[in-house]
Order: sequence, then structure tokens, then C-alpha cells
Amino acid sequence: MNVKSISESHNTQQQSEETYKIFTVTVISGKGGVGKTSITSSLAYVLAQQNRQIIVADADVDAPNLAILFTPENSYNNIEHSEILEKSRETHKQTVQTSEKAEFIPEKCTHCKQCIDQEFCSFDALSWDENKKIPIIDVVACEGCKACQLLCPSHSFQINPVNSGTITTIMTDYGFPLISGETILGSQTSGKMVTELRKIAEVQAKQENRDFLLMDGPPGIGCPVLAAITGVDFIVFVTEPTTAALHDINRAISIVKSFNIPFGIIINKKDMNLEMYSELTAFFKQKGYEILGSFPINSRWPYAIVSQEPIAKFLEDQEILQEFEAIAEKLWNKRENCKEIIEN
Amino acid sequence: MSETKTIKIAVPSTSDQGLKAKATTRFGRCPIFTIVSLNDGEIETVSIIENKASQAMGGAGPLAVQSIANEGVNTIIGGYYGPNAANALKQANIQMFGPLKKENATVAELIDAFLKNELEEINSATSPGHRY
Amino acid sequence: MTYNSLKKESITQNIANRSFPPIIAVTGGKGGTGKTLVATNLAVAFTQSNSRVLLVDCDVENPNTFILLGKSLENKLVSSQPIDIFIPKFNKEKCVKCGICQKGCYRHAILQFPEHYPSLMEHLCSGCQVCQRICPHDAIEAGARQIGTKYFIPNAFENLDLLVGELTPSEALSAFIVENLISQATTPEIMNQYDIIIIDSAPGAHCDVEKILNASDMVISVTEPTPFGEHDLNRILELLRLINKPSYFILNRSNLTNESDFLTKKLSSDITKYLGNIEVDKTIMEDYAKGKPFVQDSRTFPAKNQFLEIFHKIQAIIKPIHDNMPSNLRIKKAD
Ligand code: SF4
Ligand code: SF4
Repeated sequence: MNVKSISESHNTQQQSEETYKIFTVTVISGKGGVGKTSITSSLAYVLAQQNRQIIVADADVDAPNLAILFTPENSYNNIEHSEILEKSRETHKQTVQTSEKAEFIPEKCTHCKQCIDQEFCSFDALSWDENKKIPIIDVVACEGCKACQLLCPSHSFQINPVNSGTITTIMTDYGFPLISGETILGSQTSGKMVTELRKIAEVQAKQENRDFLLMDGPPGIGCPVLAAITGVDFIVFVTEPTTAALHDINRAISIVKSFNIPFGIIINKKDMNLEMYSELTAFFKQKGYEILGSFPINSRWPYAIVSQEPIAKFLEDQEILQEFEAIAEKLWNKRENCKEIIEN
Repeated sequence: MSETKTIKIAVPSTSDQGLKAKATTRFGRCPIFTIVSLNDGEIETVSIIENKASQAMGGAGPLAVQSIANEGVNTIIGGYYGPNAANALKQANIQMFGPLKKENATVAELIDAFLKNELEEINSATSPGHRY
Repeated sequence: MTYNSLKKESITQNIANRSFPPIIAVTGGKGGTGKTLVATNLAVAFTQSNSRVLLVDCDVENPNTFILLGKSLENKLVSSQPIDIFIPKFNKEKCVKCGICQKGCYRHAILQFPEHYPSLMEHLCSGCQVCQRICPHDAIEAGARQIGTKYFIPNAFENLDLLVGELTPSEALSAFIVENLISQATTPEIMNQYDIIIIDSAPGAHCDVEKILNASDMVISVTEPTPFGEHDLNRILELLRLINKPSYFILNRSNLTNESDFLTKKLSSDITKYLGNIEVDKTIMEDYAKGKPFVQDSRTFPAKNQFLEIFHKIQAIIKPIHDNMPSNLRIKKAD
């Protein structure tokens, strides 16, 4: 068989999906409440103002808030968040299934109670209904590990995929799409939701020729955070000058370093504790970490959230705007540098 | 590369068209593996297997490795291998080769490049992948 | 199959006949609203009224209670214990390389190549033990892998013991650690020693939080007067509606915006009742930075008074539990 001839006859027009490279930046903070979402929204706003072709994703799937800041015409006073999404320029909404759970089939059960007596479930998701003499599955605790399915002598369990949340795409007023994920309450699969969300954002980015993905990450350092930072190109840490925030950021940095991802730090509310602020900057500098910028406390900051606008837009404060612009510029340059490396 | 031993190559592919199928660099989540046996630098057989791992809820990399290893594959020409996949491929003693630096390469083109020794051998994970 | 339909089994319970000591969960949805601040100060406030308190830090991704109490985990008096999950250990003498364990593992954590012994990709394993149970040749033994640590700090303050769970960075199974902490805290031996147990929860409304809410007798959510605070609290309330627990909320940093009054009205419902507000306060920030609970600050300032008012309300709410339970019968009632 002639290998060559076959390959030449195959035509190649489409851009292959693997060669499309989207530069991804994730903003995380470890500790909540340090201004991560406000800062992400402003960076998105400023990048869009600079005519960058960006796409934004809210990967804080257990508490997605970014859409609130990009839907200014709906006063939050009247409308619930999910309705905000629906009412505004929702372009796409889909349910995702990222996990599996056990289902009990009563007809097959012979009431032998082995599932309980022999502790089939290692996740404590099975209990016994003394009246009906059948097991009860706690769906929240169920991991979908298939133990019950594999071990039940009368095959009374079945494992099914279940809905784990929704992913919604809206077109913001600022000219870029926003992809938000929201998990079903009590979900254990936030990590997989984030992975799913990223896939959807990447497909959309490719369709619209957007090559910069800015992602608002989840709090903490657990599974969803790991999913939001694996394989990204740059991480932005947002922190504040408190011992607790420093403790949390150090834990987060230890992970990012183990993943070998370059990162920079934004210090918010720096005048909250100026002594600690200089300690913090000295510490970061000594470690060789890049400080991207910093912001002072601004009493009008929370009102931007109430008005549902990115801080950089709402405050109309030149200094703050310039700081955001400078940070956005730095992020954009990282992308340019990264591109050169790939091309060479 | 020893020319006498039978080489069984798996190529992650996007369709079931055998040698004409477009190759993909996505290892764990590709829909199809095209499996090509080479003997003495000649293609002996071409077969395809569906990649069950493409629909897996997690651990797609190791599952995909498991299924090609069960087919007796000893060489893979993909592109990017996540840490789980790379680890599993090593344990399975499957040699990894890098992608052809050309868009939309077909399985045939990859095999061709492989026979000409144009592909780079890979020893560790090349993409950060999804660890969880 | 929905979460909803399966949770209907849960039964409405009267707070007074639940358990002794009462377990109070402090949560809120959004991060950084002051959950840990409220939990630690609540714990200290209870000790000041002569209660023995166990504070359990279940924000295992980022435990901060000890920092707010000015304590360190690297202290001689602190006892630490690894938290391990099960992993399979393959016994080569018994294994016949049949591959059944590999096929049964839902995480695809086991590899078993033709003619080879199985091997494990440790970080994919969830510890479900399915492989061990289904191996027909009894070739899988129990191994262990550490995913976190728990710390016990006795007498963090007078009458206050602190139990902290910490997830090892890069690990994913936080719920397992939460589970471990809760089951330790609810053993009769532990419960016997305290008059009240307070749990500090992680942000969000995921399964870690759900586990904590389920284990508690009273839930206090801390939020702030912004749409973020409101949205995230609503997710918690939705969760609480499903599991049916007495629930209250506190508006922290209430003068951050001028939305407070509006929000308290809007959020108060039969699912959750308003306990009070705490204003932004410089003194609180100072104490926070020093790792000192602000209820111990001898100065008087509005935010402290507001907090104490909330504390007295909480005391009144849990009083029936204390009253109903003779002090010689301080054992958790079976559910
Ligand atoms: S099921 Fe048991 S005997 Fe079979 S391969 Fe696994 S460990 Fe070995
Ligand atoms: S314990 Fe469960 S997840 Fe771990 S290897 Fe065994 S079957 Fe797989």
C-alpha cells in the first residue's frame, strides 16, 4: 500500500482544533472576599476597551457572580440572578452531566439487606428504610463508584449520568461573550463543571476568533481550583494585606508552582494595613514573585457591585482606571510573548 | 527503530476512515484509534477501535491507554499527552511520538513520517492535561 | 432524578429535640463575608458566658480560624493527625492478573496490562474500595494515602478547643476531610465534653457545605449588602430549604452600601430569619490583624455591641436545648 498517495488525496481546509491556541488567564485568590470578581470584571472591561478580542468565563461555579456585573440594565433589586441571565442577551444555555449517581430499582430487590450489612457504600450514601425494607440512596453523598451496582446479588442498582449544572453564554454590553457555569446545589462535581465550562469557552473563542480567555476562578485550593488552573498560561492572584489572606495565597501559590505556571499578584485594599502591605510586598519581592499592581480601599467600590458595573467603569477614577489599564497591558504582553515562543 | 519487529501503532483519530482519517493530538478524548501494524516498514493491517474513554467521566487518559494496550499496541503517534496518560503509557511500555508539525495531518501522513524517522520521541507529559 | 426528589426523605425536626450539645454551623455562600470572624467571636463569646465550646474549622481548603484566634498549628500543645484515604495494595502472591479490578474502577485509577500485575494511579483513586471488594482472589490489601491533616488545639482560649482540618495542596477530596471532622466532632465522647459546638464552613453551596449543614442544629449565614452577597446567600437558602434546618442570617459590614435595610427585608422569610447587622469597624480590623477576637476587646464600639446583641439572640434560641437536657444526660440523641 502506498502511504503517500492516500495522504495527498486528502484535502485539508479546516483549521485543526488542536493548533488553535487560546491564551488563558485565571484569576484566583485562595481566600474569598478580597475583590477577585470585581477585579476580573474590570480587567475584562479594560481589555475590551483596548479592543482586545477576549472571552470571559466565570469558573466560580458554586457562586457565580460575574454576570451580575455585566448586566447593568437589570436592577438586581427586582430580579434573581438566574433570571438576569435569562433576560439579558442569553445566547446559549445548556445542561451538563459530569457525574453519575446510583439509582435503586425496587422491583429487583429481594430485601436481603446485604448492601447495608456488608457496608457496600464507602461514602455513607446508603441507609435502610425499615418500613419498606429497602435501601435509601443519599444522592448528594453518592459518588457513583458503582460499588452497589457491582456487589448487589440481585442487581438492584443502576448507575446513571445526572445533571450537574448549567452553562450559560451571554453577550455582554462590552462586546465580549461571558460564559457562566452554575452547579446544582450540593454538587460534588464543581471541578468537572469547570473543565466543561473551559471546553465550551474554548470552542466559542475559536468560532469567534478570540484568543484571550480571562477566567474568574473559584475560591479555595480544592478540586474546582485545580480544574481552573491546569493547563492555563498565566495566573493572577488577588490578595489583601491580612495574615489570613497571606496564609491562603501561599497555599494557592504552592500549587501553581507545582504546575509550573507563571503568575503575578495584585494586592487589593493595600491601605487596610499599611505595615502588613509593605511586609507583603517585601516578601513577594524577595521570593521573586511579580507584583502586577495594587489598589487602595475605596468606599465606593461596593456601590459598583450594587450598580452592577465593573469597578474600572463605575468609579470614574483616573488613578484606578490607569492601574487596571497597566495590569491589562501586562497581561496582554504576556500573551504576545507566549505567542512568540510558540511560533519559534 | 528495529525494522524486523512488528510495530503496532495507535493513532488518535477523528473518524473511522482508516488511513484517510484525520489524526488528532487529543489523546484521551479522541473518538477513534486507528491501529496500524507495520512489518519490515510495510503496512500489514489497519484496524480501528472506538475509544470508550472519550465519553468517560474522568480518568480518560488511563482508560484509553488500557484499551490500546489490550490490543497489543506498542507505539503511539499522538501529539500532546497529559500526565496521567503519559504515566500510563510508560507503564504499558508504549513508545510515544510527537505530532507532525502540519495541520490536519492524516493517519497515513503520520505513518509515513514515522517510517522516515521524522517524528520526535516523547518521554514525558507534553500537556498539563486534566489531572482530575 | 433530581436532588429535590431524593431529599424529601429528610424530616422536619424541632431544634429542641435534636441533640446535645447543639451544633451551630456558620456559613454564607460568598467568600470573605466574615464567616470565620463570626464563628471565632461567637465561640469566644460563649466561653465568656461559661460554656465549654468546640470550634471545628471545616473550611479545609483554607482554614483560618486559628489565625483569627492568634494561634499557630506548629505548637507543642497542638496534636496533629494525618487524614488518609484507602488505596489498594496489590498482593502479587495472590493476584492472577485477571484485570477485574481494572474494569471495576469507576475512576479508571487502576491499570492492568496483559501479563502484568495491576498498578494504581494514586491521585485518581477516591478510596471507594470497590476494587478490594470485587477482586475474586482476595489479592487487594488496604493501603493508605494522606490527603490532609487534622489539628486539635486544646484550650485555644479558656474553655475553647479548636479542631482544624486542612486539605493538602493539590489534593481534591476535601469532602472526605469534612466528613472525618464531623464524625469526630459528633462522637459521644467528644460531645460529652462541650456545651456547644460551632462549625465554620467553606464558601459555596457544594457538598462540603451540604454535609456541614446536615450535621448541624442551627445554621447562621453571614452575608454582606451587595448583589454578590445576596446571590450567594440565596444558593445557601435554597440548600437549607431542601434540608429543612432552622436558619438565621447576619448582615456583616452592613454600612458598606446603603442596601442593608432593603436586603434584610427581602431576605427574611420563613426559611431564614434576620439576627442583626454588624457595621464596618476599624477596631474589628485592628483586632483581626492582631489575631485577637474582638469580643475580648475591652473598648466599647458599635460593631461589638451589635455583635453581642446577635449573640444574646442566639443564646436565647438555643436555650430550649440546654433546658430540655438534664446536665447528666449530655449525650447526642440517636437520630
Ligand atoms: S482483580 Fe485481583 S486478581 Fe484480578 S488483577 Fe485485580 S488484584 Fe489481581
Ligand atoms: S478504591 Fe475505588 S477508586 Fe480507588 S482504585 Fe479501587 S476502585 Fe478505583
